[in-house]
Amino acid sequence: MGEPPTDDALVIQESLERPEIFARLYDRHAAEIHRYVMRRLGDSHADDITAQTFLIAFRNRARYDVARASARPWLYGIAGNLIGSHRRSEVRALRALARTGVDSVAESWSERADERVTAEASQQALAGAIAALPGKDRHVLLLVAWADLTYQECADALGVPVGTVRSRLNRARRKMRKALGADPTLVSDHNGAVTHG
Amino acid sequence: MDDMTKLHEWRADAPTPDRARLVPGRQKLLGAAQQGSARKVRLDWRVTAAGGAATVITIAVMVAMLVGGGGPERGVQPAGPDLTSATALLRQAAEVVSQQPDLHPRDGQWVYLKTAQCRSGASDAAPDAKPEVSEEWVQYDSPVREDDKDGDTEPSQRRLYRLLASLPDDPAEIRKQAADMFPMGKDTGLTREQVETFALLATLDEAYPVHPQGMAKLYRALAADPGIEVVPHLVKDPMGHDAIAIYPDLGSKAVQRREYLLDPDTFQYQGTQSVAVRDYEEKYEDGSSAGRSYKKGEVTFCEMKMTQSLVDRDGEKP
Repeated sequence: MGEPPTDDALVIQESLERPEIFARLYDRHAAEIHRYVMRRLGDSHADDITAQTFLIAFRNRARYDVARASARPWLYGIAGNLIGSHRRSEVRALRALARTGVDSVAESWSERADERVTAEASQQALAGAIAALPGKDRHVLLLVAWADLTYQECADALGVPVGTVRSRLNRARRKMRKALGADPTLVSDHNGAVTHG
Repeated sequence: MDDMTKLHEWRADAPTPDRARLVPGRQKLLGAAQQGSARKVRLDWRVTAAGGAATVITIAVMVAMLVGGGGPERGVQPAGPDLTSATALLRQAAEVVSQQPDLHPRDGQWVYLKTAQCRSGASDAAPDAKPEVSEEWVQYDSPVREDDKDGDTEPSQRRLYRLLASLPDDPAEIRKQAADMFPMGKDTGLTREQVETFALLATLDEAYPVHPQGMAKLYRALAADPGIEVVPHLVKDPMGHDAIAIYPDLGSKAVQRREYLLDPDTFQYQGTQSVAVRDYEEKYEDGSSAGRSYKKGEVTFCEMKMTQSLVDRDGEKP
């Protein structure tokens, strides 16, 4: 038996013969998926959704497109769908933050149980704007901003064309900018270039 | 500071889990892997489909929970409603709801929704927490929910109102139109009849404001559906009120069923609950425990619509 493969696609391919090697994918990516779920829904959902994400991925590994070296987009796509089933909870927390300034999601990981995590005014505005987005726009926005996926990776994660990712992101960012009191038509590309959206 | 930078910084202190915290999830994965093949978690198939809309997920979760067989013994004696059969009950309901006033919603209005949600075992810390009450406002003519280009399949409240208002009398055509409103995609493993039944129930669950004659037609379509049953006695909803419970019957294998609750006087839709129909422990298919067990009659999930009302502005209370 040689060295374990370093490429996610190769791990997945090999796991069809040696299922236990799939755990290598867990070791590589579970922590960041866990943190992403934590950031969106809070502490109470992170363990469960992370575990489910990898079980679902394992179950569907035979359908993985091995031309894609990194499994991150695929895993974030599965996690995103699981997060989506908690849409009401997520939106409720965002709306509460927008209204009260108390971030119950951030409180869930704070050191002290009685600690109040209060947000800046700009974060309240952001939360209100994000709460008002349709689920798919919210997924794109947060995959780019919090999971650091590229547009192409985001498209792979959601199974949509990259143009759709761009349009959803532009729409979401216009609403964010409007909420922040900036010119909503002025949308800088995520890489820094500034264009009118 | 631009919008994306602000977003990057928000909740950036979310911790990365330590290795110990990730161990149980890894063990579950290895448990599945050691069986040598893919193991189906007791989860819905749809979560693997990229970009499934929340509404569709709701329907699909329901599929996993459906069950036939005898109802849990939570009953009280029936009052006015005819609970001898789903057909009789839903025809009676159609007559009553057709007499209710039309709210004549206007573009620009919002739907105020106060809900109570419960999830048994949702948290190890509070396994039997009381229903959690929340408020939200939904734009009646939400343009994003009416944008067909981005593939979002969640209909606006206006589309649902218009659907009800334009329904024909033919139950078969009503089923088809409901299924068009709530597409479930391909390879669901469900029959066309089942997909249409879920679409009727999704319409019942999602539609507000309600067009009275349209809702009556929806009830008649449900009355004509042999897959719909009624619990032959009133049940208690999670808030402690009497309710009529109708449910889709998919056979005797499932361990829960999803009940759609109607007010016994007005027959208006009140919300939904999932009820365990026998004692069981949730397991992965490799036999390992998912850590949750349920008793017969236990409500494992609910979403009750405590108040629904049209208001003129986002954030306005009725």
